Amino acid sequence: MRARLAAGVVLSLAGHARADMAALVGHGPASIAEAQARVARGDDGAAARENPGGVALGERDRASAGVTLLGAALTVDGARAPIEDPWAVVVAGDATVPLEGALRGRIRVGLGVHAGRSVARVLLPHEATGAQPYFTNRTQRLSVVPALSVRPASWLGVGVAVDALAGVSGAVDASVGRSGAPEPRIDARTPAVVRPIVGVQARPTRALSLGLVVRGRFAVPLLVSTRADVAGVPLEAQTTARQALFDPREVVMAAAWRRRALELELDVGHHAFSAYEGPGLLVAATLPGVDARTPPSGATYRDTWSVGVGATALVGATTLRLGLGLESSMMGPRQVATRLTDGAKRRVGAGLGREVFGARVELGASVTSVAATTVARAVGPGARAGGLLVATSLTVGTPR
Amino acid sequence: MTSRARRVLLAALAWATAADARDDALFGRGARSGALAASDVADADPTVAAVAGPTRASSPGLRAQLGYRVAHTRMTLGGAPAGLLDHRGVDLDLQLARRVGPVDLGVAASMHLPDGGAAWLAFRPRSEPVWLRWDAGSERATFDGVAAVSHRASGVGLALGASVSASSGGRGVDLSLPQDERGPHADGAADVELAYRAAPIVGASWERGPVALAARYRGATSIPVALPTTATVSFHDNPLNGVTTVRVDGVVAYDPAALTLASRARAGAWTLTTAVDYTRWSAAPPVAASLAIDVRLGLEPYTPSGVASRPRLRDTVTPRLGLSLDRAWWSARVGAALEPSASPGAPTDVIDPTRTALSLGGGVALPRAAGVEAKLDAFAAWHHLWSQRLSTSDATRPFSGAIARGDAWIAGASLRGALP
Repeated sequence: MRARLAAGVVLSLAGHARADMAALVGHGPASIAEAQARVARGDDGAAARENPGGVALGERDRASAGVTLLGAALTVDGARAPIEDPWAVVVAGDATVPLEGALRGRIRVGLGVHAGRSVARVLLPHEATGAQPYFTNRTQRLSVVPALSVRPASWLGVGVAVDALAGVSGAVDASVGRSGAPEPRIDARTPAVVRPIVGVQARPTRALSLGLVVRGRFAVPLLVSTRADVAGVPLEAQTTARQALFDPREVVMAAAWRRRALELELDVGHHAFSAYEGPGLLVAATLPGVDARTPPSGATYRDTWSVGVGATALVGATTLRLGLGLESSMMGPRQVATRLTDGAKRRVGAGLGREVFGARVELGASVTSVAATTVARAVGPGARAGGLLVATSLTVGTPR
Repeated sequence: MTSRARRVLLAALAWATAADARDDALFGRGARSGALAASDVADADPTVAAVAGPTRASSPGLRAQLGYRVAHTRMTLGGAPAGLLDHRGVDLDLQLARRVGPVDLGVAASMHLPDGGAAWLAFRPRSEPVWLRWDAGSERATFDGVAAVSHRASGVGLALGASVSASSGGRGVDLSLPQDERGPHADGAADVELAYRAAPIVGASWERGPVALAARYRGATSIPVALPTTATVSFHDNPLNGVTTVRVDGVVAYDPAALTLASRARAGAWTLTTAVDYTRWSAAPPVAASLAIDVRLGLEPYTPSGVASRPRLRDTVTPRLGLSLDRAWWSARVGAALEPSASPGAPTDVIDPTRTALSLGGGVALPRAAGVEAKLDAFAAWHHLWSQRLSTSDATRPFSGAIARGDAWIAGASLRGALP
């Protein structure tokens, strides 16, 4: 069994797969190791995405860079549901704006970057292709999240960050032109898509930290109309994917407790997947005498809840990290007609960090298991899914 | 064809075009550079070093700039409005440098964000005329970053960086149009990828007292677009049953490689800046997209194609001149440039009249707050496009012999902040 699991992970690393690891498993080693339960404590560049309010409470100028690797052994109906582009360069930084007077030390900036193989890659499967939409084609994109954070009081940080990309909307006309040959006319816009992230972090006592973050919904629209003359016969097709690279609106509340060298945090999150329309491509085609459209997918989605526990312990010069997480399924157990499936997720993570030759080295890993789930369908046999997602991250940065 | 009908047709033809040259190359970067007609390569504000003068990124301090620019165009073709859109967008610039031993080390980054989105990917049919430089695609999001080092004793500076953009590719769109017990329906899959692209930015400079010399090279940037679409049709008794593949390839938002040699001389409160751009338009790709259709309907393969050809453009040499007067709390600036046509010959479908640019602007220092030295700059410029007669080998085309001309008015403002 262990050999099969290892083989699956290796195959996934070598094969297809996509996902922006930051949204799925966390930004950098600490977040990955602690199951993303750092909303009430994170105050470095990674907090730009997790809770920009925390950036204000950081004390030093820091920078780190490294890599995150992802491996998947996910299955749908016994077939592998791989994750492509299983690596990303991870960069994080935070600094105090050197203002004087009343604003001295009160304004800080942060930056979190997750850069994979390409700026973005959108994969929209055929209707008959099975997939786990929680992982497939959700966030495989360049993510650059700058944050501006203010510290109105010594114990309070309020911050805002943005996560931006662009969609595509336009038309391609491949008709015969004045020259008698096909002459394409293309008119495509790339409207900006912005996901705001707003967060607050408070440390009312030395032992207690509280955090609240709201991350807006992110979805890239793809709307392309194509018209071509094929030997004088017109062919028109409109392809639409309104929510490629989808991230749901999220609200996470967190509380952390500190005592000497130990930190414990509990995060509770709500993820609005019910607004998701699915990863499919809608097609409307017009041919002589025939209009054809993609039938409704039949998949329905529901909001999910997540609970995460993160722990940090300082043992000598080494920081140890541990994380546990749970999240409910984004799909109900009964669907009308779909091969998209999802199950409840459980996650365990661990990591460590210490200074080596004057540099801060952090290593973190997590394993997310998807509960084996069978989605009953009104039409056809049920779809079955499950599997594992393994994340590993290593960064080197400035010392604490 | 009546004159009025011809004008209407010309206007309809010209509304959207392929794209060339980015906004910074047309108007300068920020209000200060815009007022100096982009002649400030040897005397660029460090905030905009990534675009204007790369070696200036090593000037010690922390600086940031927020700017906004509007360019209103009034071009005509055959007397009819060309319908080119205005250019509007936000500029964000950041620069940080420190003294390290005998040298100064710094980095700078600049981003331009058009109001209309990241980019406009537009191609017109190759039998229609194209406005070089002024098309919609020139207004696209840009990101430039440089790192620079300068030796204080010798005044020599070097810089290296990149202008980052993206290309559109992937396996494309796969459409399946079957007919079964549910009747005709459609299914589709897509694989669309935006890949990274980068063009080099290299700078060198020498400065001694009031005199400075600088050189800047910017590699060509563009957005290649490849859109393959495959449709598999299997309806009952439909003439398109079979597999049809339509592939469109082209390059949009082309900004040619450019080498700039520049100087600066100061005398009291006066500063004279000069620059000469050598712009390699001759390497420009086709301004139209190529199209290939592969039709396999069970009979004879039908494979019409239209391959766009490269435009016959020539390299240009553009002189620029700027003069500024800097006082304790205010500055005044004027600038001028003459940019010759890259497409002066005939026959041509590429519209690129010779352009003169006149600009003026100024700036004021704001009261110091929170340790920040802030300046507010503004500029306005007038670009006049001389008359150009289009001449094609096909006299039946409606634009053959039409006169292209126009004007553009540009205005912008920038707020700069600097920390020691």
